[in-house]
Amino acid sequence: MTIEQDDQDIYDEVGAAFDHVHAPGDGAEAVLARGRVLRRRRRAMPAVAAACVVAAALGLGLTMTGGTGSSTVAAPTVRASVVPINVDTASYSVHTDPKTGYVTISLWRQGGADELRKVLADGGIASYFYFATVTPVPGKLSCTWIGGKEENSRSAFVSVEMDATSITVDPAKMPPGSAVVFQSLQFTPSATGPGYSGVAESGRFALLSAEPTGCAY
Amino acid sequence: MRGVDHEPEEDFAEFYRACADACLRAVYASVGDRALAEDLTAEAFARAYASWRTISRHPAPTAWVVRTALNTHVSWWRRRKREVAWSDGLDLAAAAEPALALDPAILAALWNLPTRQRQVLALRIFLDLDTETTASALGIAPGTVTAHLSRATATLRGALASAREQEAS
Repeated sequence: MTIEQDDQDIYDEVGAAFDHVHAPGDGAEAVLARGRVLRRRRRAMPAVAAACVVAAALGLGLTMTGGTGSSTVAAPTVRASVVPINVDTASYSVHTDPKTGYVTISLWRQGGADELRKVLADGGIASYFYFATVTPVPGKLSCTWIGGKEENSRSAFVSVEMDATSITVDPAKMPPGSAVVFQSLQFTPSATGPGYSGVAESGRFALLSAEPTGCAY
Repeated sequence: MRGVDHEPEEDFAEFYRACADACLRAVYASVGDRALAEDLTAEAFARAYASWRTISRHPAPTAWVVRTALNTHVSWWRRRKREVAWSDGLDLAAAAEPALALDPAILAALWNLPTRQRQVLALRIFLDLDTETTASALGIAPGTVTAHLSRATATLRGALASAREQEAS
């Protein structure tokens, strides 16, 4: 950004008008306290969800086997050939934890999705990223993947942080042929009224049985 | 020990101390309400702390905080289905504390700008972000940032010059 001196003088003048504006003195403590609550809530969520999935799976197993629970079948998994990834760009970061083999993907902005797919593919993770701006439909916050069926992601997705648009994946727990997918929808602000969510954007990670060809809203 | 992250906490606290004022000013200039800006900025910082391991690696964490605050603002705004014109004067906190009120000429010039232009200007002035980072923070194209900044600066220059002439006469 080339800034002319005249422009800079105006920016300085406006900036100086806000010089007396300071964050509250006790702000750091309040923020940390609130942040700890958010962090605890986030850590608790996958555990609760996993417990629900286990409970549901046990229930299903009992039903299928007439109550004996002796022949539940786990989804087949293969250990992906894990090549450590350590990439930081303005658009995304990908890091492999050398101890666990978990891969953390952080999306900073929309650009570079094709490059990111290639980076992940080199690390043994198939992926697909879908970004779109849509006119909101009442009650609809996500698009439907085309060409892939949603899988249970609880074992493959170690953690998901939507505030930071970041996910940690265990590639070894991904079923063969499956893909990590992410959809980001920006909703145009035109529509309001009953049934509309009122949210400006939504993002969602999922695990699909195969790489999709698109996402329909 | 699991669950005790003293080092990240200190790291985050340092980030907060260094950037809280600038982020608050950028959000305040964007939303026009001091109390709301404080709430939104605090919530954005709290979310940053909750995801600090990730956010600390962000190329521009202050931009992330301001974007989160502004997105929270959008949600907050729409949830309540309120539409208040900027000219209605939102800043009750400043009105209650005249000594802390902003220069009326600057206030009027800033708040007469379209929202996006005001946001671009706020990120430029208070966070000193370049075009690429501003574009990333607001989710718009770099060319759009340049255009918004150019228009906003021209409008601001005209408005401030006019206000100064009126003061002088």
